Amino acid sequence: MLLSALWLCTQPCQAEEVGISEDSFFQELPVVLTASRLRQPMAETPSAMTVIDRKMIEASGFRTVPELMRLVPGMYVGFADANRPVVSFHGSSDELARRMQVLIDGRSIYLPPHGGVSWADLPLLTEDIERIEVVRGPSSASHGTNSFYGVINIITRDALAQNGGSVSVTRGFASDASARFGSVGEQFDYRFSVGYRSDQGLDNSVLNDHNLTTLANFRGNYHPNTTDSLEVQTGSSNGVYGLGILDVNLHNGLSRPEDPFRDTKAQSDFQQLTWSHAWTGNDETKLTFSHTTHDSFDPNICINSRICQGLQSSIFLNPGEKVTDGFTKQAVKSERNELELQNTTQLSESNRLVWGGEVRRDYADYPLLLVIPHTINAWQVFAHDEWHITSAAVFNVGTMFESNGMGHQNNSPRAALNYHFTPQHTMRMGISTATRSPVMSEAFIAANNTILGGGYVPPQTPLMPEKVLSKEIGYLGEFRSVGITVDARAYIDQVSNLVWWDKFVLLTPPNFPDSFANLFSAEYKGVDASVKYHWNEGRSFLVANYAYQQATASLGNLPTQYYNATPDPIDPVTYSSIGDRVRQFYQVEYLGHFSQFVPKNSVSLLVSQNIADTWQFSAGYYYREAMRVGDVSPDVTMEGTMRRLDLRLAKTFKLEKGRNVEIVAVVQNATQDKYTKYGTINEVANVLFTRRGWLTANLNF
Amino acid sequence: MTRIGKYLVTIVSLGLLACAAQAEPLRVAMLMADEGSVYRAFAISFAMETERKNLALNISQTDALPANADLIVAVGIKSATIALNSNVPVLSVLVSKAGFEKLLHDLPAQREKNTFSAIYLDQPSKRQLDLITAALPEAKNIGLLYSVPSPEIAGLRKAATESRLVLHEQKVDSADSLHRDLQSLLQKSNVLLAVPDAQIYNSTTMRNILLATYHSGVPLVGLSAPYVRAGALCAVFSTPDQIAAQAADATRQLVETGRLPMVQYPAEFEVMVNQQVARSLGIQIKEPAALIRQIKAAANAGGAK
Repeated sequence: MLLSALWLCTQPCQAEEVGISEDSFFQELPVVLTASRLRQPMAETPSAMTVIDRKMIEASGFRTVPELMRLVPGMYVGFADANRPVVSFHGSSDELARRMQVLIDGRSIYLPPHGGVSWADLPLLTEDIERIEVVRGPSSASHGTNSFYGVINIITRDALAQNGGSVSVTRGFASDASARFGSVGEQFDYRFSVGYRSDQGLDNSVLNDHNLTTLANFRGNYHPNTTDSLEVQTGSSNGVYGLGILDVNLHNGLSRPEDPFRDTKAQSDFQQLTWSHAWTGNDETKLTFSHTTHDSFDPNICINSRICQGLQSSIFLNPGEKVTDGFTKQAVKSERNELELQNTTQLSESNRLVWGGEVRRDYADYPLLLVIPHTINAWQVFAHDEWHITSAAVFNVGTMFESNGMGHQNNSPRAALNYHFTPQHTMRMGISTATRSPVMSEAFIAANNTILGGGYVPPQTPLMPEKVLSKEIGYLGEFRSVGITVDARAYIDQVSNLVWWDKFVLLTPPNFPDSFANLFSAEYKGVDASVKYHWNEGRSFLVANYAYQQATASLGNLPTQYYNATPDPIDPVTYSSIGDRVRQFYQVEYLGHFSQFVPKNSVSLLVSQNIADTWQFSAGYYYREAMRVGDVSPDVTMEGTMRRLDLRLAKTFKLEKGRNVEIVAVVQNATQDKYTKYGTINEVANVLFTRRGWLTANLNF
Repeated sequence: MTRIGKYLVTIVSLGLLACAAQAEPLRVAMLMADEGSVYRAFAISFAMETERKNLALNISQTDALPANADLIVAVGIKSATIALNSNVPVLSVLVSKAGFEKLLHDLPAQREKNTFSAIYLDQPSKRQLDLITAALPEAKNIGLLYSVPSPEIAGLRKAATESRLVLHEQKVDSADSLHRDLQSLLQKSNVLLAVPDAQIYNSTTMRNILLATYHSGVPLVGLSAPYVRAGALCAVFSTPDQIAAQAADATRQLVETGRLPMVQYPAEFEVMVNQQVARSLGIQIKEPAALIRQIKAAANAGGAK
């Protein structure tokens, strides 16, 4: 009502009637689409990039961010149990894959202790995602530390993309609900979402993997004048995640003693404040502060496998020991504070520089793994220049210099040349580097318990940062008249100082305690390609991705343990010496398996067809050759080939005043391909990913 | 008698000729009721243009109705409104079409239209659509957002039909519905064409309008250079210099024929393109010079039909 009253008196109040004054032709206007707001076009990016936009998100039928990563060529998506998603690139596929930068609106969300991402409790609704840009390659100069194998950059919907409300309910295999509301005003826009997502996991009789995440998310933008805006984002999630697995070998209906059925909890919170100021002449300054916390709680975690087995039989217990001695409660707390300044400077019409710096404080309290709480203070400065040398050539050059707070200073430069042979055909040649500093769980590990299968000692030699050098040649074809874009590339990524689980860091039998060490040099080679085809005025589309990957590794400097000639105290028949045991282990379990850590061939296909304006049909096909999940215990078998077909059908009922109701049916794995989801225990326990489906009703008003 | 008569006629004629040759320069009063750099730029440019064209004028500046003038050049709609009460020829410049047409309703009935003329700021409808065709050859659906129907929209409607383009019009009833109306319009449109409607397009609303168009991948075609700097894809507009040159020509016509030309659209124009926005939206757009050539070619072809 108030706004309506203002309507007739907004800008040129002196002109009583519309169009009378010539102000419309002369008024100065704020620069809205500043350089930092504009997306870099695909043909000009310095690295290979995949963009998953709103249309693809909807058509895929996926409910979560990790699943959407199936639409990125070569990306591995798995689940350590149904409720602990794993997303990784280049075979870094353990549960806490830690070699990618993951950002939500510029805020880094990998967790301080592990450097991985707790995908399950992300305080973000998939409906609030505008698009996801995935950089397939090192990108420290633009995306900061940890941008090692790639970057997942999640961009949420602007406050002004949600005007009005919507309610969504899902029932079936998944049980989700959400309500979202937003309002667009002259100086203040906001959106607010609440919801929960849950599903029953794979097979609750074998695996306790039910999950329920409730969350709230707010984004508000205050723009009091034409040059400044202040954005506030905050979100929170609370989740309950089942854990534990049945001991299928015992056939007694009991869970594995060291992994009993229980409900763990996780809580995630963030606040983010961004002030941006547009200077005259298209320059912009952006100052962002963010605060993130993540807490998790396990009520009953096994810290001594032998005592825990007392659950099955008291013969495992020494006199005076109680089974409960083998278990404890575990609370893990982590916190991150980040302050970033970013400037975009238009040096000339053809040259634009993005530069700035960041200070970060990471804190983790993880008693069972790190004994004492740790804090790391790190800082970095970066500069990235985009220079249009001629109308046909774009040169991107930049670097990031960081002090990682653990005593290392690293410089990570990058350069790429994009040449448009014609407006349709572009070649890209790039060299980029990145550095990954060891995370707390690697650098400070010290745990005299068996939560991960053995005793742990700190690294015997201080860990060095990992380095990657990536060389890439790419082609981009854009044929607008026929609606086709092609994106293909070949690359070699060479990694040195790769930090890996060293099973023989200390040769002290019988445990041979574990730690981390800079064990390998690795090389990843591959070819990947994406084709997009749009028709029906962009409403219907096809996306096809293919990736071929190869991975090899070699031991950097042969570890001294290699030459240990002491007779093996446990199995002197198999191993001629302790050194021989170490050698065999490294050779067979690590180097021998390394090539299996990436799927050789993988494909994803997504097709979406609009029918008669109100129907939309889409299908996704995902193929991945057999592979082995790296970094988990070596006795785990390979993960089978995945051939999966997902279907989605949506019908929109248009109501008056732009309101509408949408009914959606989704079937995943429609052909019932019973592939295993993650290589740890699921196959042993014969837990398969079966067909599942759900119905969703959306009301937009 | 007849001989004397002939003589007389000759003398009178000669006298008149001499009078004309040595006549006082045309007294031009620049009526500038509004302050503003654009108006000043026009005034300077007009003086230079008339000098370049060897027009002997006596130019004065005033902010009220001048006492003695042979021509009033009324700069801006406020000046034009004041000039309404004069009885000498008036040429209004830097005025919007809608504003000037509104003024014509109040023109005293006895006054002849061609003594109260104007050069609009608005570009002809066809030129705006020709820009769209030149810049975005594949765009067929043109979105138009307005608060009050105007003759301008009728003109665009007619020109769109002739250019085989589809015009999607969306009326906005209130500020609250602006965003929703825009969103639903963007779903149907390949391009949004701005019209001079300060209720819809002003420095307050521009942020949300441009962000919404950008998110939808639908470019905005603006009205002026500031639109393009703000984030519109392109715009066709005429500069004060170009209008000053046209006003100088109109003045010459008054000197030579005693009459002002009829109301005109700007003859010369500029095209401005935001290449960064184009690239980011994945649009391959021609250079402004090429767009201008194409618009002029289209205008000539249209005229020849």
